[in-house]
Parts: sequence; C-alpha cells; structure tokens
Amino acid sequence: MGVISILKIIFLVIDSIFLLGIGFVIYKGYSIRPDISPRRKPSRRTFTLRDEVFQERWNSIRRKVETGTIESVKMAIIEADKLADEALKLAGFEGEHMADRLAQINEEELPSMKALWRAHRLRNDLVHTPGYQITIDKAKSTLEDYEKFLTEFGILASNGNDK
Amino acid sequence: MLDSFGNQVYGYLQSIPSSVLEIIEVVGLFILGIILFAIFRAGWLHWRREIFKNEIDWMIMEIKIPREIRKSPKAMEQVLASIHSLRNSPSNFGEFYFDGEVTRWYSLEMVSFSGEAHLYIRFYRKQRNLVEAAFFSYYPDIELIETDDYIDRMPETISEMYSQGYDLWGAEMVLVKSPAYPIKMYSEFESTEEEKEFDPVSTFLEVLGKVKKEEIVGIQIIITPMDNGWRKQFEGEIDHLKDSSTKKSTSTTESGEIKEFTRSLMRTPGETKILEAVEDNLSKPAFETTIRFIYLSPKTSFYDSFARRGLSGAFNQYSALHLNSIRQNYPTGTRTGIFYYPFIFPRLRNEYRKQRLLRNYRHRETPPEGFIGRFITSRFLNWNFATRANPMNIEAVATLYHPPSHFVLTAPHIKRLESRRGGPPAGLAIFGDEDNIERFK
Repeated sequence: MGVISILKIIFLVIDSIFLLGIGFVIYKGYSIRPDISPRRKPSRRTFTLRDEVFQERWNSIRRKVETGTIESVKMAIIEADKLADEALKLAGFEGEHMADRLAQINEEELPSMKALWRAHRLRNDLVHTPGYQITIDKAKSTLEDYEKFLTEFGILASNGNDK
Repeated sequence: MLDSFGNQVYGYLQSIPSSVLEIIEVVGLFILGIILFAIFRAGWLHWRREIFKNEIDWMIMEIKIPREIRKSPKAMEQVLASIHSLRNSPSNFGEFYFDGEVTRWYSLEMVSFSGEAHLYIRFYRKQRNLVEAAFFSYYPDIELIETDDYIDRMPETISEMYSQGYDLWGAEMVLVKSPAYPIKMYSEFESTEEEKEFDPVSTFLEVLGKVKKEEIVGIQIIITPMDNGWRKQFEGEIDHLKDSSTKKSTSTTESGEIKEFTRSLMRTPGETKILEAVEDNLSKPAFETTIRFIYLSPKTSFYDSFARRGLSGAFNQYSALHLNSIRQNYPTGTRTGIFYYPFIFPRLRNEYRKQRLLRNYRHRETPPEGFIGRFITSRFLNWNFATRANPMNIEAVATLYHPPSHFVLTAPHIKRLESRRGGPPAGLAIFGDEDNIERFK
C-alpha cells in the first residue's frame, strides 16, 4: 500500500516535470520559428531617396570641408562622389562604373548633369593621377557641383532659394 | 436508462478492491509519463537542431563550365559519391541532445537571371577544399568561384517583393511513388551513337534561357547525405516484388465467368526489369533530396504557367511510368483557390505559402523532422506538414544536376570559360614561401 502511494507521488512529480519541460521547449521552439506572416517587414532596411541618412552624410561631408585642410577636403570630394553614385544606384541606374550610370541620364532632363560630370572628372583626377594638386577654392566649387546634383536629384532638401 | 447503467458501472467499480484501482492509476501515470517524455524529447530536439542549423557557416560557389565537357553525368555521380562521404552525424549523447547536430546539407542550384543561367553549389565553409577536390578530380576544366550569395539581391519578404513590383510562383517537387523505385536515370539518355545521345539537363537550360528580362528563376536541389543503411527501410518492398507466387491474376473464361488463378513462379520480363531497377537503385548511397523552385517576375510580365507548366514539365523527362516520376508537391505550391481544399481564405493562404516558400528558398531549408517540429513551425492557415524530402541515390541526383555536357552547346545562355586550364608542371622552381603559394593549391 505504502509503496503504491509513493510510486504514485513519484510518477506525478515526473509527469509534471515533463509537462513543464514540454511548455519550455514549445516556448523555445516558438521563439525561433520562422516568421512567415505575409505582412512581415524585412529585417534589413531599404533606403529610399530623401532619406535622412543621406542628409546626415552630406552634413558630415560639409563639416570636413569646414576644417579647411587640403587632406580633409580631398576626402570630402571622394565621399560626395560615393554618395552621388549610391543615389544613382538607388534610383535604378545600372552599369559597371559610375560613368556608365551617368551616361544614361540626359542633360536636358537634369540640368545639373553637366556639373556632376565636371565634379566626377575632377574626382577621378584626384584619385588616379599621382601628385594631382587641388586648391581649396576649386574643391569647394566641386562640392557645390555635387550639392547641386544631389538637391536636384531629390536627395537633399533644397535650401528654399527656388521657392 | 442511463442512470441504471451508471449505477451498474459504479457498482462494478465498487466491487473491485481499491488496491487494484490504485495500481491501474499508477500504471496510467506511468504511461502518461512515457507519452509526455516522447513529446518533450521531440520538442527539445527540434529546438536544439534549429539552433544548430542556424549556426552553420555556409559558403556558395559558382560552377563555371568550360566550352566543352566531354564527360557523361557519371562524373557528377562520382563527385556526389565523394561529397556523400563528407557526411557528419551526431556520435554521442552530447552531440545528439545538446548540440542538436544534424547532417549538414548541400544545395545544388540552377539559377537564371534575365535568361543567363548560372550553376551554384552551397556547402559548409570548412569543407571548401574537399568539395573543390571532389569536383576537380572529375572535372579538371571547370572553375569554382566563391561568390556572394545571389539570394541577398532578392527580396526577403513578400511585402518587400510587392513593393519592388515583383510577384512569385513556386513549388516543391516530390517523387510520385515510393523512393525505392528509381526515376529515369542519365544512363537511359546515353548511347554510343551520337544521334541517340541526349543530356537531360539541356531542357532546364533551355527553360532557364527563356526567362525574360528582369525575371529570376531558381531551382534548388537540397541534398542531405543519408546513412548507408537507407535501403533497409525498403526491404519489404523488394520482398514484395520478388514474391511473384502470391500474385493473383484474373482471366475471363469462355463462358464469361471470372476465374482467379495463382500465377506460376515466373515473372514477366517487365516485372523482372522493375525488380532489377529497384535493386540497382537501392545499391547506391543516397541523399535526402528536396527540390524547390521559384519564379520571380515583374508583375507586368508575370505568367505563372511558365513556372507551373514549363518548369515542372522539365522534370517530366525523368518519369518512367512503371518506375517513378517527379511531380509537384501541391500543398507547397503557391496555387490556392476557393475550389480547392480547404475552401477558405484562398488569397491569404496563398500569401502565407509564398512567404514560406520564399523563406525556405532563401534559407535552403530542409523539412523539419518529426510531428512536433512541423507543428511548431506551422501557422493556423499554413500547416507545415506537406513539405517532404525524398531519398534519391547519387545517380538520380547526378541525373538532375550536372554540368551540361557538349550536347548542350547550342545554349548561349550560359557563360562558359573560353580557355582550357592545366596545372603547371610539378617541381617548378618557386620563389616564395609555402604561405605565398597556399592560395594556388
């Protein structure tokens, strides 16, 4: 008699442990199961034009120019070029190099294209030609060219001059 | 009436000594414990295995083929045999229950971007040298190039996909009959005479070449090496085939009555062939195989029949009706309708299916093992019980996936290497240390 009731208690305890265990593993399984709900948002962020990220990056480029040393101005030009290239890629222009992407845009559609070409050529000289010298003024006007393009392309908010 | 029955039962229970009742109670608790333990174990294994699966470090390589491969798919069969030997499996308690180790799988893929076909293989990163060795020993002219996973360029969720203006169609493929029966193997496409010689992969390349601009079609064959005892589960079927004496045939006598008679011990030639094919099939190592394809297309040019009929039709060439064939696994396909079971919410269920298929394709997912794992990964409108992996031997997998041989020269849709490769002579004087030449090995 005594043995049976002890056995009963032991089994009851074991059963409830298993029950708790099932609750635990099901909870764990649910927390890592794939999310397949159709309304699920992608985990990576897709950037759209006019995103604040671009404005942020442009501001940091501006700050580099303001320091005024020739090295930081060079860096600023290279980064501005990268930013413009990424904007083109985002807009769906394809090609191996940035020049391929630029070639797809008509100057009549986008008046600032001329400025961008000019800036891009200068940037290429800067990167590829050893010993290329650049003055601060020239660099600033180049950055203005980039800014013109980025504003017209709809990435940077316009300053309100044209309103 | 009911009361008297209840009283009777009660009276009957009263008559049983209480000690017997208690023993029944204890036994009941014991059996309940066993059932609960089985559920707990399955849930635990699912949890540990999912973690193990997610932590595998994969790498993907593109298979670049030369202008001409004068090798039959037999070479691919040997490559697969080498890959099969890389199989890992849990060998002790800790690896099985705590690490949740599962056999690492490989993914063989044929993908077309806007009509340009590419062949890929994805495997466990640490096995790179071994996989390369397996390929180069049989296909010295091909090149394996590590690439970024093309999947990252594809939308991750269907909401992202819709916002990019794309739509999706896809399904998984399964064997129609028991996996003991082989599909039509590459050897049946071969012949000594050139005009009778074909390469089954050409159909796929042609279909992939017909993909329109901006469309993506991907076929993935996920293979998990199986234990070599895989044939044991089919021994019953062989016995059944061998045992011709039990076969009953019917014939109609002249007077019109149907007579049943037991056939003699002889098998018909067809039956002998089937038995032979089945035994051949079971004599080679096998992979658990999941075949999955997706078709991503801009909504303007989306035509689901291209995938539904064209792609699954390409698998039709492997069917031998007396043996086995490959068909769509319909519950995984992204085709639902109000007139199909279970008749409710067809559109929403379709969205779920698309999302699951896209996710499974992206992750090269293998079907979860066991009821509990499938239950946990299910949704109310999208149960995960349909997906299924079929054992297929190395010959069958090589038939489905091999670098196209020189019969497929017409296909301009696949980039080929334009020059032959050869190794440098052995013992060449090299200026540098071992580290410098490491990457050329």
